[in-house]
Amino acid sequence: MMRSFPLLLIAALGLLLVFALGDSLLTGTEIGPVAQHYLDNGVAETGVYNLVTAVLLDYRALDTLLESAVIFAAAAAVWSLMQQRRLPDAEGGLSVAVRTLIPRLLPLLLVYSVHLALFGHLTPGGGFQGGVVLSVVSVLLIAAFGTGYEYRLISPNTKSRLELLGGGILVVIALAPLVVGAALLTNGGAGFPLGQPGSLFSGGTIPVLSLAIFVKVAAAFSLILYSLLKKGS
Amino acid sequence: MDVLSLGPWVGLALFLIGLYGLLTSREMTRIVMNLTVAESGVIFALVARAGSGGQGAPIVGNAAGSMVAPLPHALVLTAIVIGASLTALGLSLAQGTHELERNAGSGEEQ
Amino acid sequence: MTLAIILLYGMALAAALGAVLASQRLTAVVLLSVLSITLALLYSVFHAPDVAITEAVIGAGVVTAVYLITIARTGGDTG
Repeated sequence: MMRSFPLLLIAALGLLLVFALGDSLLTGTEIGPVAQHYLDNGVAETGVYNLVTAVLLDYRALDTLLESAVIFAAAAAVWSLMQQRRLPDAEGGLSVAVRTLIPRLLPLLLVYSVHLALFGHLTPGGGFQGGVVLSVVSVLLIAAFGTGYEYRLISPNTKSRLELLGGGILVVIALAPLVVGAALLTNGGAGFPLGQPGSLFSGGTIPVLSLAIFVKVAAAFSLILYSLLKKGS
Repeated sequence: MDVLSLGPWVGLALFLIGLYGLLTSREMTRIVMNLTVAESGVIFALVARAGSGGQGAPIVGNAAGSMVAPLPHALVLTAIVIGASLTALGLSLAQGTHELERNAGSGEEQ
Repeated sequence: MTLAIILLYGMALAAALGAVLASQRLTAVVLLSVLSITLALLYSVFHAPDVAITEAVIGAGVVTAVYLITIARTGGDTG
């Protein structure tokens, strides 16, 4: 009885959800009016081809700003939880095969991460994806050469300064439209040049925001990974 | 029946599987893992529901027919990145808890 | 195409069930990254390349690394 109780509970909740959502969320294919507006006017209003980026960094840029605040809070929390700990002494890294393969893989990943961040407004990708790929580079460096090598390459202090730099750029761009009397994070409406849609320099503030998020997310995630690697006394 | 329209139901099933795991697990890393499964289910349900309504990704010049709605994709991207940072936070709490328990255990033995 | 999608659905459900029911944490972590890769493929089927990239990189890369570190730090493969 006790063992099957969770199963019964989940079955009941499942039935409830099927009845509640069966004819709205789970079926149906129509596009809502807001999304339809983005599809119809996205390129004209933001100057970028990738409409997901247009929503993320222009229409709903406030969400993205607060999301990066959440990431900052998470990184700070992990960092402070692990502050009492020290890096493990062993810093040898993995086998010869891994140490040979990974340095040949790293340039590709670096180029890919920068590509994702730079061309996020034209092709799939964006600052978040690029930043996470860049933090994977830091994981691979630790896996191949140990924590000491990674520490000497980019110290945690540099990473936290880079994260502050990214966050600072985000806040400055967010506040800039207030000077001309536009709302927070306005892009084209505040006079930023939208450029020719489809070219690298287009979309006003969107590529800049993307690069700032790229730096910030990469620094935050590699800081988190680095903190988790520390050992207790 | 179109196979793409089954997607949200698969998402619901993933959510329920993760929730079952949450109800039955006691160890902290397992709790975080099951939370990840449930979260993936919700995310997949949203993307699948948006994706079965069009013929192309919401990128101008790429789509052959009508594009799918970009709004769920943007919301879901935010959710994935925040989910990853919350997973990291939960796991660092798990490490701290483990250490506290170990220290308390060795204190009682002495 | 239809068969491939059904296969991916099955793989996602099986990986999720396995991750929830696995007796060892290491097995569960590997199955979680299988789930992430399967979901990334499904996202690209559902016309969401942005989400697919993110899920693949985060689910199979960063989150897996974080889980492995935590398992190594909290008493290896038990529980």
